[in-house]
Amino acid sequence: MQIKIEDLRRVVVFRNGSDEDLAQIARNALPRSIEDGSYFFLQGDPAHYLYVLTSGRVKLLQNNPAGQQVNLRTINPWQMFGALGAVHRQATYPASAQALEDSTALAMESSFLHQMMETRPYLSFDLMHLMTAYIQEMQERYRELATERVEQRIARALLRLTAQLGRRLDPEKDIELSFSRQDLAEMTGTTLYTVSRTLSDWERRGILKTGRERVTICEPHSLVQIAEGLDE
Amino acid sequence: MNQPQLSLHLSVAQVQQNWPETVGVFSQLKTACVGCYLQRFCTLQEVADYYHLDPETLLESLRLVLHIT
Repeated sequence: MQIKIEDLRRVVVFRNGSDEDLAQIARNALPRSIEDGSYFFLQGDPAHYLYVLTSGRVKLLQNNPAGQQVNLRTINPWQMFGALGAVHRQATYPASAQALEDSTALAMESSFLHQMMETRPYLSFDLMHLMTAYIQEMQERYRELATERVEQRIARALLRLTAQLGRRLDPEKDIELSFSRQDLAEMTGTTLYTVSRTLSDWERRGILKTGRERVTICEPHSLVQIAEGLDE
Repeated sequence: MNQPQLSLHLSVAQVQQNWPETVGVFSQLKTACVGCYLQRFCTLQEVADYYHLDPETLLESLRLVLHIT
C-alpha cells in the first residue's frame, strides 16, 4: 500500500508536519489489516505500537474485572489510536481496539514517534490537542454519569446517535436510525436490560417505536426534554 | 452567497447557520434549540408547535434581530 503524504496530513497529530517529516513517518508505518470482530490490540498489552486507521471502523472498549464492557469511543479513518506508548515508554494499552468491520491501520513503533517528538514541538502540541479534546469529552461523560439519571443518559446518547445516523425519509415525518441496544448500553455505562426497559417505556408513551436494531423517533421533542432533565 | 428566505419551513440548523445572530432569540424564547442535537430535523413550525408559540410571533422575533422589515 502506497502511503500518501497528503493523507497523513489528515491525521490531527500530523497536520503540521513537513513533507520531509511525513515521508519519514510513512517509511516507518506498516499497514495492518484485520477482520471484522478482531483486535488491533488488547487492554493491558504493552503499548509498543500506535495506529492510524486508514479504512474501516474500530471501537475502543474497556473491560472491568467482572467482564462488563464500556465503549469508550469509535475511531474513524485518519484518526490515531493507541498512542499512549509514544508518551510513556512503559505504558500498557488502557483499552482494547476491536474492528467493527474489516479494517486497515498503519502501525508505527511508539518509540519512533517518541523520538520524533523530542525534536519536533508541533507533534507534541498536536498530540496534546488530541488528548485535551478526549479529556473534555470524558469530563462531560463523567458529569453525565455522576449527575444524571440513567433515563436521561440514554436519551442523550440516543440524541447523539440520532444526530449522527438519523434519517428523515420525508420532511415532517418520523426520524429513523439503526443501532444495537448493546451499543447504547455501552455508551451509557448501563446494562442491556436497563436500555430495553427504558426503550419499552418510551414506546408505551408514544415517544418512539422500536424494531430489530432499529428505532423510529416519533416525538423527538419529548426525547430532548428527557435528555435535558426538563420532564420531571 | 445564496441565502434562503426566512420561513417556517426552514430547519433550526439552517436558520442558525445562515443567521447566527438569531441564536439569542431561541434562548430568549426559552427553547432548548441552541446546541440541540436535533436541529437539522426540526423546522421553525415545529419549534412553534412544541413550545406553544405563535408562528408569526416567532418569525417576527427572528426578523427583528435580522433587521428585516
